Amino acid sequence: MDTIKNDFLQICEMAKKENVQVELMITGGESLKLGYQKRKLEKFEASQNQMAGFRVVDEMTQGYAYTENLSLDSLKLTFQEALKNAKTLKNENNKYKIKFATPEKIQELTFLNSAQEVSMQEKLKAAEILESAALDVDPKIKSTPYCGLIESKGFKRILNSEGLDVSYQSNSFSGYTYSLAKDGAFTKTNRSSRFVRNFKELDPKAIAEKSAKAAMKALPSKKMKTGNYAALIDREEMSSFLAMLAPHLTAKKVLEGKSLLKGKLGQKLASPLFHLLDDPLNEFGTSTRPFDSEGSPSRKTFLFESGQLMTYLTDIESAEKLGIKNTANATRSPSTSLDVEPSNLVLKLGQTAFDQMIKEHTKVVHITHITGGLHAGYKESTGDFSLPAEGFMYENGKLLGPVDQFVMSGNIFQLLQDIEAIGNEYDADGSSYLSPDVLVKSLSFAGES
Amino acid sequence: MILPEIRLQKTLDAALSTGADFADVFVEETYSSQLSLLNQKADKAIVGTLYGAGIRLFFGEEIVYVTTNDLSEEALIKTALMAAQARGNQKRLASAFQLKASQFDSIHTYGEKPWEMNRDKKFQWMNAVDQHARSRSSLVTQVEANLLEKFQKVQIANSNGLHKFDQRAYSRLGVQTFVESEGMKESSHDNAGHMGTSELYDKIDLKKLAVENVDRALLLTKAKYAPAGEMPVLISNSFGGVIFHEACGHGLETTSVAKNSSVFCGKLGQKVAHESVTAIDDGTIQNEWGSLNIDDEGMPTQRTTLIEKGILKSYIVDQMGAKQTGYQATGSGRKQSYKFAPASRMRNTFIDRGTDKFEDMVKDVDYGLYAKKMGGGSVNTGTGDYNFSVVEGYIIRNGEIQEAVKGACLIGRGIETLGNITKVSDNLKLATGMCGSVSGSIPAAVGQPEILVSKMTVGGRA
Repeated sequence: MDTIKNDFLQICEMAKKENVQVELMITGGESLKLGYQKRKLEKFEASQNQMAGFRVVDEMTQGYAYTENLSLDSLKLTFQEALKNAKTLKNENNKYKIKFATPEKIQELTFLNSAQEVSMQEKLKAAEILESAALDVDPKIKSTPYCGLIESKGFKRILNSEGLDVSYQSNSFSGYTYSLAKDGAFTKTNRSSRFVRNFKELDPKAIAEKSAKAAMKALPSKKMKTGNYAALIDREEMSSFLAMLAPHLTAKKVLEGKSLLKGKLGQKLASPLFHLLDDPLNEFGTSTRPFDSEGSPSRKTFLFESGQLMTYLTDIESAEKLGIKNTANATRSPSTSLDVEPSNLVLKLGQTAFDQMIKEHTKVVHITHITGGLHAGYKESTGDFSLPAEGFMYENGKLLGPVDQFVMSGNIFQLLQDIEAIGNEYDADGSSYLSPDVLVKSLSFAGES
Repeated sequence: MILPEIRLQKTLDAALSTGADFADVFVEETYSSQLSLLNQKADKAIVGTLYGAGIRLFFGEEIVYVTTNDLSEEALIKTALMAAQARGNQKRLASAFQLKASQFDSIHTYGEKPWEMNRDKKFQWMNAVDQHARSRSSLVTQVEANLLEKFQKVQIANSNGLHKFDQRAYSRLGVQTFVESEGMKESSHDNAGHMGTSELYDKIDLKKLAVENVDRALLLTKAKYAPAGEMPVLISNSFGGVIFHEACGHGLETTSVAKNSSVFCGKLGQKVAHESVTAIDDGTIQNEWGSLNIDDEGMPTQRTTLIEKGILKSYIVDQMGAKQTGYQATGSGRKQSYKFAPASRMRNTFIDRGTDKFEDMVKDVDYGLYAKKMGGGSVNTGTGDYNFSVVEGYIIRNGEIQEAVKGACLIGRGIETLGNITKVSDNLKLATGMCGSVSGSIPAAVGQPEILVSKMTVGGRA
């Protein structure tokens, strides 16, 4: 018996009496986290969760409510709360009549939920190696403050009063190691991780060794002289720059007047080498899904082609308001309101090898780590960034050594225009951003006077 | 109470059935409300409830933590047994403890609960902020206001017989304004909040909140980029305290110290900062943003002196941290919700007031930066490298505060920076912040008087 469906049909009856439409999103799953410290198991965390979120539409307004109690009584109460919220927001200035997704064929992504039996012993062994293989690289690896294995199983289901009922399940494993290397007064850390859908593809030794070796390689770092240098942004760190661009690509931000790409469709805004795609069907992405948070079928969207802005990312409402196609990028969880966001952003491969890129300028800074994330210094309203980072300095194609304690500054839109070369390979470590290395003509670097 | 005592007793008995040294259960029921106003229109209304429990077991220094949404006796016992069987293998015969509920006087006072308060009133506050912002300047293009309220009921019991219940209310009103002047777009955001309910907004000056926000955004449209390089930096009070939070606070948490991954390891009793620096982590301040009655392990909160006149006096210690390091727990076990195992976390953390006058500190600087308003930051506790952004800054030239600059980011190493603090003013203020770490995102206040740092790397434009 499909209890959820039966309960939802009862709630649809309540909605009908109130003359409103209703959508129910249910997510849930299980996760297991295992971590070793000092070669002993330190962490064993298991959780199961489920949450139901209602979106109630009263013509031009919508209200939300959520609960973790999925009994029928609780669902009815939560529906009433969402209804009350929709009524609260009633405003005669709203002109747009909100629409729900109608049932369409959804592409099945079988790779999301590959059947596999993995014993607890195998998982514990993987977690143990994620620490020990890093410690075994060199005595200078003093600890791995964070390391472990995460197993996730999840499901998502959306039902609405237009007859839509879509769902999918997914499972994944992530292994990560964060190594701390110490040599005299110098300390360096490095995080390496890998996301896989099939346990057999997880190589914990490779993850741990990569992390340890990268931490060692950065010892001993020096400060650099303040100045302007060419920047070679590592493929793994390019995600930060794509994340800066992401909100500007959404039609919701365009409609709110917050996107700096407003009114620029069809314009050449980036280097001709820049081709960017939103790909919710990509097997290696962590934001892969067969439908978006309104239940619209996922599809690929070309955002930039040869530097030209092709479209914005949309949901049903923003697509209709702008008169462009729905790209199915509605995003929400049961406890949040509807937003528009990219799924997996994929920067198309270029043709230049790393070894070639470091020779393109007299001095090139290879940016391998943006240390503070974006909140340390990115301003979305202007596109300006000032971000602390670490990396390696090259001169005439030769490695001078690791550099740290510097801040690189610029503007994301200028950076897109200043791209001089794009690398010819990806690392499929698993992320919602897939990018090769990117060479940028010049950024401002603050270090020693 | 959320659940009857007998149910928690049975849960803990099941948890200990395979030989764990210790078990506790954390039960939570949390109501959350998020309302927002966009361009003078009510934009979003989301309410919801979290309802679940986390059961934690210690086997030596190994932690097993399991969670469930189902709080029936049957489900709790089943979850506890799952945790017990995950690692344990011994049979334990009888329960050796009896839960005993204990009462305590709350330090904090609350008004109307968020679900009881009239929603129109909440939108009136947001509308007032919108109106004040628009009245301030015709260059305002957009105003967003939001009100976040949370009311958390927690019930904590453990195998030492502890059984406590507490209620925690949080309310925070945020505003973000967007301006456009001569083609330059800028924005600014700010917020006001406390550990408590929303009647606060009848008392505070919402006009000041809105006007300062607009003025800052307008100032930024005219500001040039900050210079790059090393220079003296005068950091303002209030949210300026994020520097201590990042540069030092996280490195004092036993989460890092026990793993030997903090630059502050083994430095207890040693000089780690300039003698002008005394730093406190205080959970006892009435209705302050990061305050508590009890922590998420049931221990009464306290005022902990971390650094006294430059000497490291205490770490920030939770129960597992105490077990691993031998230091006394400081009532610092905190977490976002039942979905996280607790970890050692900060509460209201600040550099205590000194004796210097702000005006004299400005006069001390020939050329440097005055960081008036801070943004977010982070730290790598392993290396001590921290960073944070300066939202509103000014150049100090010849002992005078001069033109505004934008886009600065400050970086440095915790211990070096603490040693480079040369003056601390007498004007202490705290500010609200959200702190993210291993046990989730929690309310934590930061603060300090104005401080002068003799040398910091300022990331601006070269």
